[in-house]
Amino acid sequence: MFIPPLAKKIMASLLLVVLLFSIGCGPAGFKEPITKFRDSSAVVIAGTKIYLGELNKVERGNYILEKASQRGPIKLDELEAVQVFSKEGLQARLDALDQLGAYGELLLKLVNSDAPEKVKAEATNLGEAIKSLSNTVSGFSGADDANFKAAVGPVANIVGQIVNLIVEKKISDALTKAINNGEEPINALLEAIRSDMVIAYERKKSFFSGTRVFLIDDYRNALDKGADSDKLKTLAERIRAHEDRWEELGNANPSEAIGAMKKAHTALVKYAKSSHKVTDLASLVDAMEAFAARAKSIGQSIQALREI
Amino acid sequence: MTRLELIKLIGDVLTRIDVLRGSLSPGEPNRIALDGIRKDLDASQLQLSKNQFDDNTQAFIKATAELDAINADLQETIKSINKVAETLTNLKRLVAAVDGIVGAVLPIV
Repeated sequence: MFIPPLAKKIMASLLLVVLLFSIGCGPAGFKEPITKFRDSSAVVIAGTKIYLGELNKVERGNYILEKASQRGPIKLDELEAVQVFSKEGLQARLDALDQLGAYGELLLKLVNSDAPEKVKAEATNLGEAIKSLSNTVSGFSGADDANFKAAVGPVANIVGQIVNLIVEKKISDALTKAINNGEEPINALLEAIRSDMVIAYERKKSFFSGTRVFLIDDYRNALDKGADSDKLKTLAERIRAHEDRWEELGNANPSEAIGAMKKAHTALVKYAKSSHKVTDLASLVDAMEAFAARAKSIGQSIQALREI
Repeated sequence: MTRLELIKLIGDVLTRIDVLRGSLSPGEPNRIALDGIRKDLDASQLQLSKNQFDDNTQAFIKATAELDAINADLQETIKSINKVAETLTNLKRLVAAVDGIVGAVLPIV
């Protein structure tokens, strides 16, 4: 599956935590589950971004389809009114995902023993970006942004503190803070995004379902009007292709992937805080295997939907 | 039932309505009735999607419990093309219940 470069900047913010504790003292073999988490998170983020990016597109499509079915006029003001998120709200969510990815990337570099001096500029840039996002979101007053807005503040606060420690070269303090204070706000932000994804999925489902009827009606109308066989074949092919997409949609629910990611994140933090016994590692491996399998399956379906 | 569960419930009903719609010609009276119900429910789902609210209030919990009961009746008939009349009756009850919830939690809409 193709993963956009930005999405490759995994939310290792979540797993960082584990790395820190594991380096030098964890049992051999911890790297594999952590790598799995990183790779699977990249898949989940890529899918989430596709859905978020398409949410308003789906609403526009739904509106246009409905008007076409009713042979009614299409109006731009109505077209804008049906969109779930404002342009600013949508962009803020995409920015939040990007910045979590950048945060994880930054922490990974530290864990991988890059010199703190090298990442100082990166940390400074991230700190400014987080501050900017927080300021933008604090100005949101729409009812559609309430949960997201509530979740961004605490994440911006803790990530801001961690970034400041990195800039001050207090690396050990930064990592400790990431482990002890990062889990709850980051999981809350993931939950807010998961809720948005439930809505995105349900609205897409409604659009796809309505489209099924629209295409069937088209075929039926052409049949009633005595269309030639080429025309009927073309319309039948459209039905076939959409039915394939409809079937695939059932397996492409990004909210399930985010839910799995939250569970995996919690398992990582649990491991980070454990005494790293063999049984702790076994639990971690099981959790990561389950997450990887779920992320892979959903990621493939989301990608397949775009290709059909 | 939470707000998200309500949105999902409406989504599932919409897909069942579409299966029925797709089995009827656009000019048939039952099809026209189903088209109208579909439009109403889709609009309600969109409103619930665009607005976040407290779904822990007693009023919301009570209203969605009633909706659950109506949905149970609906599930008895909606999968059969031969029970369209009963399905339409249940769908109208469901639309009224959803409208009531939307009106209660989103009074400005």
